[in-house]
Amino acid sequence: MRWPIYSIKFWIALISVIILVFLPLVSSSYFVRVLTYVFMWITLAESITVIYGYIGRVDFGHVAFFGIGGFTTAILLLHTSIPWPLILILSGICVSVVAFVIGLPTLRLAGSYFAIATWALAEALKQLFVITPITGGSYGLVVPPILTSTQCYWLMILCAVGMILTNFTIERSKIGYAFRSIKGSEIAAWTTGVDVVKYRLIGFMISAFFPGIVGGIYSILIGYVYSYDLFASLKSDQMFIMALLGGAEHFLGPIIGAVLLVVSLEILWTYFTEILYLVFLGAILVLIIMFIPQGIIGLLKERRKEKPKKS
Amino acid sequence: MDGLLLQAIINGVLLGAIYVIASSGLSLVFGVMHVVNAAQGDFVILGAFVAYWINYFTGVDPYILCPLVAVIFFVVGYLLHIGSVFRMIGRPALMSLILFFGLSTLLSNIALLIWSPYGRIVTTPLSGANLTIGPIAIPTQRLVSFIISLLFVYCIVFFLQKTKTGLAVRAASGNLGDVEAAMLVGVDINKIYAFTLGLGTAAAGAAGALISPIFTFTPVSGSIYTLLAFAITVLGGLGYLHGTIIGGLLIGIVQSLIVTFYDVHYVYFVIFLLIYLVLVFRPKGLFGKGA
Repeated sequence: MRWPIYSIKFWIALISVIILVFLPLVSSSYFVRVLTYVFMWITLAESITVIYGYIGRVDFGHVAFFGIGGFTTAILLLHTSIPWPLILILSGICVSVVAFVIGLPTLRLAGSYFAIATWALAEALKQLFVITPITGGSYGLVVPPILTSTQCYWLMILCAVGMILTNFTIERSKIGYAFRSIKGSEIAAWTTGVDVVKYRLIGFMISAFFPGIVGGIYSILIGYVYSYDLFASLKSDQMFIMALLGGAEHFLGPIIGAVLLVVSLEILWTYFTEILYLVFLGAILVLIIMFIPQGIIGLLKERRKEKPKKS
Repeated sequence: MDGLLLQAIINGVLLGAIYVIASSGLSLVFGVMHVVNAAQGDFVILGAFVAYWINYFTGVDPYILCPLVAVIFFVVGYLLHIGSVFRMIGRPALMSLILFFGLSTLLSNIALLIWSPYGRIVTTPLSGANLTIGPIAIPTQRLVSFIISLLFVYCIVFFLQKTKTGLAVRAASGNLGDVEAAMLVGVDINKIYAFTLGLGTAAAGAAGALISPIFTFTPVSGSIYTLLAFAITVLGGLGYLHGTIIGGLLIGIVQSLIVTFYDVHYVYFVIFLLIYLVLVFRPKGLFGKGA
């Protein structure tokens, strides 16, 4: 790959990443903690963008991948002596395999059915992990604190950058064209030789990989995994709303959505109650879908199209 | 037959009948409008709350309130369509699903804000009373709910088959009829859709009123009912009302058997497995008559 050294956007992105990497040296630990969650949510929102924004499938149970990743990491850390970087990657792979098994039959079905099936899966796993002994049952598991919170912060940045680059690449590659053709018209995609189910499956597995790793980092950061927390359906809602709010058809959209929502969460949670935040979340979702289904990025793009360039 | 097993099955049938109402609303709305109402469970809970508060202030029995709650929720559904859902018609089906998902979050949390997360239940003169037949005890409340719910579903079916508005609904339905043909012969499609959504939420409200004396409910327990309603409609075939009845009874029996003989936590897993297997092998429902 040729480095895009003449592009200003590239340098802005690179410099902001470098600043963010060195931020823990000078800033307060509270700020770093909030940023850790910002990067976690960016990764999750970007991951749902692959399946929703590019392929056009609604996945209401995306949190299942996050939860399975978290538990895989916790269990491997407790019962084996595999080094932690390998464990995190293994969690990602494990989750992708699960996505393959789930997606193989369900991705053939119409969209509404797929949404229901994924949602039911996440709920079922939540309940299953409460009763199985290896996941600690209703007590949960205590995860050994092998990483400091600053290390977790760096790992979250790494995941976020990885996920953003993945989406950036998808948008510009052959796979991306296949995805968009499927979203546009399934039948048209078939007739032009796109294997619809195969590409959907690839997309689903890509979208599962990073949430698995992020789930693992999250479990180390929190130091405690518990089924009702890791599989909380609120997480699915949140990542979905972030992607929708920012605009799910462009890789920058989920970043905007994630930053906006995490900041508003911090404010509402600190000064009011959690429930008010949830009301706010539901209201946002309803308003977005009614008035700006293309998200903030889509809105900006439309504006730009309307105004002809001056030069 | 073993007494406990028979008891569990009877409990399941009685339980399933209540689920049938809520699911029939979901199924009807999907069949006609191709809109998946992901907030159905929240309407059930709101129905339970409405019944609870009317009962609290007037002391009227929830079973008598059932039709009143249904009428209230019919108006709610009708207004909901006029207010927001009509924008979703003609857009991809997933848009409406997301809208209702947002509505579900909104409704359940507003309810949480107003009524706190504590569980509530309505006590009626029938509470705790049993009808004993040999070794089997039938809770009177559940029996009454069972009868009312079957009556209610029968009323919906009767309405769809025998009345003029019902005919219009069927004509506009995506499964049975043709939207454009219906419009050609003078059916006001927007009105019919509003009517259908009203009917769907009315069913949810009625289910809520029936549930209020039987189960403890909290503002956030709606998602359970949504999931159950989904499972039932998927089993019976989306949009196929008769399938919903069998699906509801089936889910009720499965749930009752698991709770009696295993652990309540297995319920969701088994229900998910059922949904998964049905979707994979019989995506049109067990009877192959769904959409």
